Amino acid sequence: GVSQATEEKKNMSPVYKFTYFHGRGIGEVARQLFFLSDTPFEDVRLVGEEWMKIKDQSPWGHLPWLEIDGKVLCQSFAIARYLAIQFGFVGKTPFESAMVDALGDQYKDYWNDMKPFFMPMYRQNMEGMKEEFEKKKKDVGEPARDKFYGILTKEYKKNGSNGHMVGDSLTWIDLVVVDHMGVMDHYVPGFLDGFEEMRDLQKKVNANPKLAEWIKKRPHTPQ
Amino acid sequence: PVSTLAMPSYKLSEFDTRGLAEVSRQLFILSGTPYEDNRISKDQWPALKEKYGFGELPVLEVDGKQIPQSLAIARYLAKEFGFYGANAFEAAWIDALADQAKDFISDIHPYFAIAMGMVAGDTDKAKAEIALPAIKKHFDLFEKVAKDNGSNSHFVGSNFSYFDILISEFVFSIDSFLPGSFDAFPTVLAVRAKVTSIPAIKEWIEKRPKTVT
Repeated sequence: GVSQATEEKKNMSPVYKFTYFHGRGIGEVARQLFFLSDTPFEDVRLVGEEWMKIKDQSPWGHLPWLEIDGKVLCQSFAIARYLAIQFGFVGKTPFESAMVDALGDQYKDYWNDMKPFFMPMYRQNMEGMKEEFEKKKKDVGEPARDKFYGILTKEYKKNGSNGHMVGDSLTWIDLVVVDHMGVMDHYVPGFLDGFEEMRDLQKKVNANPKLAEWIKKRPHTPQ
Repeated sequence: PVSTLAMPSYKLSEFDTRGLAEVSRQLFILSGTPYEDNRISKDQWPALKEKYGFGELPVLEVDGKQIPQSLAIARYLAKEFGFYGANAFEAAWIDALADQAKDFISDIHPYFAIAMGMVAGDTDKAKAEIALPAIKKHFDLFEKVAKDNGSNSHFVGSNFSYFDILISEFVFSIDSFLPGSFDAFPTVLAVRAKVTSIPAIKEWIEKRPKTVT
């Protein structure tokens, strides 16, 4: 009857559709959370001119956005936090969740500090870009790196260097930090050498079998 | 009755400024929760910096355990005190709006750097080319969100959230530099009016230390 159908609908998993660029960037953490929790999702990747064509009609004018049974949610870290709460990747206490959040916000500050370096970094092999790349690496990249990875190192040690930034379980900030380390390793090999604790985190997180499986099968993009 | 001994002790450390820490101050006030409003002077800071895990303010101490980053603090307190929406989806929307507000701060920051004399530049030019476009871009969205929520003087759901407080403060700060900037956003202004009409908040605004930001 009607009430049985309503019960069944309530118990059905939501339908997830995630729209982002064809790349990892700030969207990858959401994809990883879906895969790690065995949650099916539609992985929409916009290429070429597709984004510019729909930008003005998009919910908030930027990517990514998530649809949950058709209801829209924007902003990469709001999405990551929402999914992490659903699937159990936010730590075990409100205090731990707050520390995960704080590290996420610190990552965003680091991202803003690094912005003037990213473009020359992506373009370093283009004609005439080498000098700009080296200059921005020294003036922008290295100070931003030292500040952020200094904080991460301190927190990781405080947490017992146990393969997690917070508590003793995998959280969304572990995924964000380690994915980004992979991007920096690709574009600036050696940039993160010397941050031994971060290499330890990277090794241990990447050893997660489900994550390793995703990394093997996901579409391959440099960032 | 609830014993106050069961309540954690809260200490919020920040410079003598409102900023995003002010959201948390108002969450304490709205919830009637005692806290230490620890304001640190610029002179004291170099000696204290080492004490704080991320080397920055604000920091919340909950029974001595530190939580840094203003929005992480606000989210933690909003959850504790019930200003975080009625469910996980509403909470995520509140978070998304707060992140959007941070994007707005990034976009408008160069104007404030010039207007406050931190960086050389033409204030009028910065107003026209940086501030007003940033306000339009982000507040068109905030106005729409408030309207889509039913013009009930809340951005999300049917109760106060930490984002209502955040926007109320943003409008106050920016209006002092650029009066009338928000006249085009009446639904946003209605949220601010509702927040500031709460007696405890009204009283706090009247008696709090007066700072530029």
